[in-house]
Amino acid sequence: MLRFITSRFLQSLLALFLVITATFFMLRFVPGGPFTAEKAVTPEILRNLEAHYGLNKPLWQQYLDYLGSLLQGDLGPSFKYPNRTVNEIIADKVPVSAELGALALSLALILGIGLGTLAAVRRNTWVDYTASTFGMAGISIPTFVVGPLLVLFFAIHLGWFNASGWYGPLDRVLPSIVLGLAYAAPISRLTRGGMLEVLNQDFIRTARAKGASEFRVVTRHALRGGLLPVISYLGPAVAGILTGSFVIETIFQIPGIGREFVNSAFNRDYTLVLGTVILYAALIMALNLLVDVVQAWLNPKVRLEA
Amino acid sequence: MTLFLRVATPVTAATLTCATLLVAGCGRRETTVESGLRTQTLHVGNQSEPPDLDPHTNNSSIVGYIHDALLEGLVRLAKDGATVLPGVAERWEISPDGRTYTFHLRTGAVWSNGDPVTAEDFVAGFRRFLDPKLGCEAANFLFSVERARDFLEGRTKDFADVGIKAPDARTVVFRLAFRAPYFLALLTDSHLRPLHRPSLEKFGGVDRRGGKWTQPGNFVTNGPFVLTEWKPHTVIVVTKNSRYWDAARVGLEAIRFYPTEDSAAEERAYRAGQLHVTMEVPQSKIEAYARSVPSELRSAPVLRSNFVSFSTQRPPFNDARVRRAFALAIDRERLAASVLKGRGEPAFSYVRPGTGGYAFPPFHRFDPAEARKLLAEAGFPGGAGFPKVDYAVGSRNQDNLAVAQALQEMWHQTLGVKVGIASMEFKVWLDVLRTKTFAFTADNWNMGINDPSEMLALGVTGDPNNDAGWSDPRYDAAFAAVNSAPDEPARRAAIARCEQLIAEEAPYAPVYFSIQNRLVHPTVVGWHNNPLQKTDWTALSLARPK
Repeated sequence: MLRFITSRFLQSLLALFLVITATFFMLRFVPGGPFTAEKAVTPEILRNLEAHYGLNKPLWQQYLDYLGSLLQGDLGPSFKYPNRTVNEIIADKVPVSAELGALALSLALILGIGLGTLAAVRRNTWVDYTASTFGMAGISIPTFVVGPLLVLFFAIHLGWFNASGWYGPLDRVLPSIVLGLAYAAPISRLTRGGMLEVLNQDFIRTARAKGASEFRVVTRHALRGGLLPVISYLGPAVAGILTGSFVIETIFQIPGIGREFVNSAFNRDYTLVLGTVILYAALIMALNLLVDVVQAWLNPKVRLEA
Repeated sequence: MTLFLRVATPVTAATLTCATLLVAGCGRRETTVESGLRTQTLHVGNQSEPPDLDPHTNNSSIVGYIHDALLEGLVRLAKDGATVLPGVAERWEISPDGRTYTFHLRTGAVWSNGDPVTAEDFVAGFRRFLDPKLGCEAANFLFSVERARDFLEGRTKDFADVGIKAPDARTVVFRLAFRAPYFLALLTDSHLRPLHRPSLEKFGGVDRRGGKWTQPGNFVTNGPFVLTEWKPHTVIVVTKNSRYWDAARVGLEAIRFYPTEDSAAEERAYRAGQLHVTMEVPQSKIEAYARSVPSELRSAPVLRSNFVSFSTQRPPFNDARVRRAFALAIDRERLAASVLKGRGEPAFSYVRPGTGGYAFPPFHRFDPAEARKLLAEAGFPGGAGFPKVDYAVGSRNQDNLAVAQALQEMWHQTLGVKVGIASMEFKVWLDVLRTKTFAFTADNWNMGINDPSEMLALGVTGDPNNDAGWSDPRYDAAFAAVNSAPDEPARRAAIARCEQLIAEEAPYAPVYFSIQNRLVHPTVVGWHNNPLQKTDWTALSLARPK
């Protein structure tokens, strides 16, 4: 197991290095730069600006400089926000996205696994159909429709919540629900599928034959195997949910990292793009590794093959 | 199975109970707008997160709105956006030749930490504004000052050469390179404010980018408000400055500026009672507001011109007849009525009439017959043989694409020319603009100076913002005559000559002038719109409407 984890870790480091390198050079080939503004400045001023940020050095030199400071944990200054560093921006925004993500994920797991299991146990009854309809609707209706609809009803019509913002605990409710529903839908579909497969297997029949209660059969024996597809899905999903959702953060004006991720590319804020890409890539790799370990632990078959 | 459901039911019941409690807990609360009325706190949508609150490292209008609350210049703009009132300067004299401005500072003006505001603070602010190291995009504002441009572009390193002096602690003198009748009004601009040097030096030095002196607690201000909170992408709070020399005039206790990037989300926040004033109104909502609550919809013309820029150095638009044909084929009235619908008014001159107090006759018109005739003369009768050209459109402004499609149709109908639309991401478009790799494009200009000369400069040979790449010695001479005009009639004539040449040669074809729409809550007293979009925050207060 240790060898497995070590080799996967080294692979991830290599992949991360490739991601950083590719992002660094691709960014520089995109037309327009951080100082391309609506009103053009004289070449003299542009040179001064570029010199301030070291953009006048040869590209390979800039790349080495960047890697050097990266090894010391320094992601550099932001081009768009001159009085803030990329480290500060990430430290400021990630907790917000993570809080929203954690709330939404909890809701998605409770709702998704609950509904999926119910649907599998009560297969081909109205319970199943209702849960499946919810699943399909959740997957097909985008958050930018659900979000404003909930705001319209709960914030504007009933006046229970703010329409947008991230000031107090109440402001967490609507965005968490919208983001949670979006993830609950695929989780319920995956749970149902996984459970159906497991519930037909011999060891379940054995458990029933031995007189285990239905509740025990479902929760102790079936869920463990039935959740395997959900676990694989959760790796990238958790990375996505924790690093923020551009759409949800825009609809609810939430100061999370998801908006920075997108806007930094529009602003050609080279260092901020790299910082957010590194964050996202590292998180995905870490979570995928975690998923593999959890799967090995949950599924004896995978463990044996490894 | 039944057991499973037996467990599931209490869970559902518990969830429902929690939900009910939550709902009972919130109920309809006092909205932000209502509590603002109690505390005299104004909640304002401010479009996006300011890059920094440093007035000299950016040219962002949203930073300007906040500076109008924090810093006071020599003079300030009245609510109408035209009249100039005393600020830190209590009086001033202008020499008969219109080239020397002498300002006398009042004695009561102090910084928020108690230091007096001196003439040297102003000189330091102007020097920093022109510092090539910081490279402010708006530095062209001071090109009328003697040798200011030389200092900015490095032809002199000594600021003593520049025509800005402080002979004593209470006097600031400007020597202009030419007669600039707009200079007094220009000094109300948010970039041209005094600088509290000790606090900049404390945080890394005066000529440093990105110093922490603009943070709450560090930012020493001299205006009606002080900065008390700045949570990035959440809110910027300013509260009343008790040390402001005219604090009695200030009605509000605090202003909260919210970055509201998404105008649809901003409008929902307004409806939910979170904002007193929005920065804009989503296109799709303008008509509904105009119908249902017209008193809350405040529409006003702003100094933003939208025009077509032709690449005059490359075929087919290197031929003035082709450019004129395309310009004459634009039916501006139809465009304003059917596409813009309250977001723009037809532009029949390059510079908006009324800018700087100048009136223009309509230089441009819709004339399909003349347009077809010119195109035929240029060798493309009925559009036959006209090369395939793309109209480049930057994607930032939603109106751009709709307008471009309408223009595409007009050029097709009138000239028989098939034009493609190349829609591109904003910075890609800017790059295309700078490298002049377009045929013609949807261009615009936001005026920072309320005077035609700022926009007319875009036609001068070699100007960095001359997107058309146009060069005409007659125009360069006419523009030089605007600045060297000894008196007002001569200046007016020179400006008209520039407009005339732009109409004849058509490097730029005006399309429409923008209108800004904002939502203003009925409890806001003293709200005013003006073309420069400047708000006098001291003139506002909150009261229940009678």
